[in-house]
Amino acid sequence: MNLLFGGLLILLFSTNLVWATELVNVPKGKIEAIWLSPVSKKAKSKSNQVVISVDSFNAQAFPVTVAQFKEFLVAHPEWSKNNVNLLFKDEYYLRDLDTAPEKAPVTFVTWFAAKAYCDAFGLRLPTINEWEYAAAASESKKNANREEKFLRRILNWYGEPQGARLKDVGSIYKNVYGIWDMHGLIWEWVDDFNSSFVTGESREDSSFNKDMFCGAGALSSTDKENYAAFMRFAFRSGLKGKSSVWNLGFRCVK
Amino acid sequence: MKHFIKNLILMTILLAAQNVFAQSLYDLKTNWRDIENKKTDVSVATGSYVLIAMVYTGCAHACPMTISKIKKIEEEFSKAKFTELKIVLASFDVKNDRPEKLKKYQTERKLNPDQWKFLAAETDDDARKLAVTLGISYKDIGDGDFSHSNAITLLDPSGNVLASINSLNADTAPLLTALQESLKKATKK
Repeated sequence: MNLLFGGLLILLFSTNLVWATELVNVPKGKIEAIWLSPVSKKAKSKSNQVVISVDSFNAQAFPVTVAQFKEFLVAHPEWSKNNVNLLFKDEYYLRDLDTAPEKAPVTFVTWFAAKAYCDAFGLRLPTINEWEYAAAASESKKNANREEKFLRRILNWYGEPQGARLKDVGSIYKNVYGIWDMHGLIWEWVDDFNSSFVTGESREDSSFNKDMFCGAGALSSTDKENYAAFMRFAFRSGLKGKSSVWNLGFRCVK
Repeated sequence: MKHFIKNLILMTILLAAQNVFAQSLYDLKTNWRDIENKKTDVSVATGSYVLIAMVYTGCAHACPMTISKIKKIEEEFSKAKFTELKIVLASFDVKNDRPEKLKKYQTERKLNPDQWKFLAAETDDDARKLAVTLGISYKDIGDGDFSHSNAITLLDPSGNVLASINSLNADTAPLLTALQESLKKATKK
């Protein structure tokens, strides 16, 4: 009986592991970085739009689930709630891990924990550019950032009063690359989230200290139409590495 | 026996408490080089009170300001009769700020290498991890320039974060207060 149970566990464990590392390819390409600003004085003088190149990479088809994160904790107990240094977690870290459905995306995870998870599988967190490039794809097009229907759907999601429970991964939509739920389920960590911060125009903002910043790069949205991208930009700029948020999860790339 | 149990309970509580309040920056595992190109860590000045900040030497404006701000804090600490301070300056310009460049910068500015520790990150990831932990935002904006926020953080001899200021115009009093409180606690022990 014990043997059977053990065997079952191993089976469960190994199938989940395969799932955990299921990656789909995102081919290289160029995209207008509407989520950024003119990134240098040079670019600013030429045009207001910055086109960036993104190299080919492989991304997890689904955000990391509660079940997958629990498995990770078995192998890496140093990332469980009680073992993490206070510099790397806040009081909400893994708050609902025990009660959330197994197939829901794991949330209340910090940037540090997300990084450690990806690391453990030989993967990494995507950069902002990679994430936005992949997220620009709709069900049928690689770049739907200018499509009203696509944008409206995202904005509707941002505007929705959020329910108490997150849906399972794989329940929103699959984009043209075969990646699920880039919008509509959760916000996702990116590796360089701390490169999103608002300067320039916002310097007039009273809540904002000019002397906190150095450098001429005024980071702001280049495209006022793309409010959705700007929302993500603003969300990221409000995060700390130890932030745990109820609808913020992650997926890894390679 | 009674004593033993009492001690055991006390120790357990102490250990638990330590874990709850543990926030040593030195738990962060990152890889750096000192100005002599030797492998090192952000914990290079363990055992001393430390001011840690991130800079890049190509910066024409705020980074010299970071250094003068640190000198000002150091002065205030000396006035309060504390002179054992060490300073760790880690660069987020991983490509350009290599050990030899940092050494040149340090020599030119006549910053005593026993007290001032410049660090060059092994990889971008090492620099990013430290910046995120210290709450510093930065972005490579091309042409060797960075946009970045400023934070100067005070650590105790074990690397625990005592206080930090996140603006170069900020009042430095909280740093001195945190230092004095920590020193008081240490003498009580």
